[in-house]
Amino acid sequence: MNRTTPLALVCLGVVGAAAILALAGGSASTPVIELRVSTIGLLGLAAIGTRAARRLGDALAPSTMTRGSRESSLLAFFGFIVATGAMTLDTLVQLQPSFSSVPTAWYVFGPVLEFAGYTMVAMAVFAVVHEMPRSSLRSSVPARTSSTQERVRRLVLLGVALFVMGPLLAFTPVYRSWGLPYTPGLSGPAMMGGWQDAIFPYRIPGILAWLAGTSLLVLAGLLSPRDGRRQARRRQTRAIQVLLVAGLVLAAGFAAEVIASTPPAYVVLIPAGRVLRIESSGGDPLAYFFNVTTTTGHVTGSWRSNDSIMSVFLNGDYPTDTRGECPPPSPPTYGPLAMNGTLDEYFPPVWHAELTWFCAVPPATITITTAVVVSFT
Amino acid sequence: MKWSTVFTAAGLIVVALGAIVYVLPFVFPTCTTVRYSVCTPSYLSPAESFEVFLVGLALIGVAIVVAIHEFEESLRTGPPREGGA
Repeated sequence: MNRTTPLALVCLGVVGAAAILALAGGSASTPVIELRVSTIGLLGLAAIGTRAARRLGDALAPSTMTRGSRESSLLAFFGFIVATGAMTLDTLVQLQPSFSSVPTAWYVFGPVLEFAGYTMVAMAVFAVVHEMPRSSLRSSVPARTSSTQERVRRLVLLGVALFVMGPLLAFTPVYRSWGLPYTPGLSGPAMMGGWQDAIFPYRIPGILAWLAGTSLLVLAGLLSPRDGRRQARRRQTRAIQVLLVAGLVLAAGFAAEVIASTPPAYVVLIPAGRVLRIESSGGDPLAYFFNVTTTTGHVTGSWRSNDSIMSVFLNGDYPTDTRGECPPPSPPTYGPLAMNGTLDEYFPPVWHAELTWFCAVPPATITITTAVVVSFT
Repeated sequence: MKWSTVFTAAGLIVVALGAIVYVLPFVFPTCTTVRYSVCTPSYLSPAESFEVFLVGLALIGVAIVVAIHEFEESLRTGPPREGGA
């Protein structure tokens, strides 16, 4: 047995352990660190898979493996180190007591560095897979690739980079808002201002990168010198048809998401009479932030779910806490909460936005990937 | 049965499980009242169900690595002959 299988099992153990820790923690806390540990495990698996595939390519046809394939292992390893390093640093930064004093630039460059690592690993995996069939053809493989093939290869690598980076960048603001305390004064993409800071406008660069990557991949598939003109035209037609369907699904999904992300006004009544009005001002499903109007004036607070009981944390009532998050109020102070509204309002619109994302993006991804495959085959 | 098949099957099952627990709160909300004090969500949070999903992906990743290893081994040893040696 070579080293790849035990290493893969270790990575599986890392992901499994992170999941067990996350599930054992209950829904009171958002498992941000566990998610990151899982991601590290998956990245490790991708890097190990790349190495295994390269070894297989070497075993199949050692003389025909190209330089790009040999470099892929190094790229995968480097990507793994970059992404893991960025994630670890970011987690350490978030665990600091004076979290709000972290330089704003980190919230932009941290995820970009992290996702650059993901992209390197993805590119390495794709490079190895791309080289595999060629290397397995043994004697029929030309010693040097033609200029067209080389151009296709570069297009594929650039396309994969954009295809992977796009959704990750688009998802970054949401990912970064999970479980983080609300920090007034920070806003914009890749910051933790909550879901309302993370909606559509900040996703546009990522979406554009994704579409550009897809287009490059389809273009690379169409340029791939593999068959006659008639077959190439047939591939082109099929790819365009599938892309059109994907575009429609994606457009519908994002339109629905923009509509769903419009924040409504929430009104929460508390029998004790201390809090008069709570309006949503952003947040994620587990830590939703509110502007709270009380008998003593207007304050900003956060509303977190804590297992079965939703608690309202009010900054103004806890002057000792300066980070925007306070200890849960005791029941005698606030009493049971009641809300004027419907069940639909109970689940904030971000749930719907997330549901839309879940329903629209995976089908679009599948159809776009199909278009890429169709253009190549 | 090969180990790669076992890991693939396990991975697909866990991925499906993760997707189901992710979607459940949307399809069947557990809060039947708007009074928070009696609202008891019993499902996993999105982040937690995502963890389940990731375990499934990891299992499929291991299946790929093991499958590559098995293929490499079969190249080395050759295909099994019918009727034994």
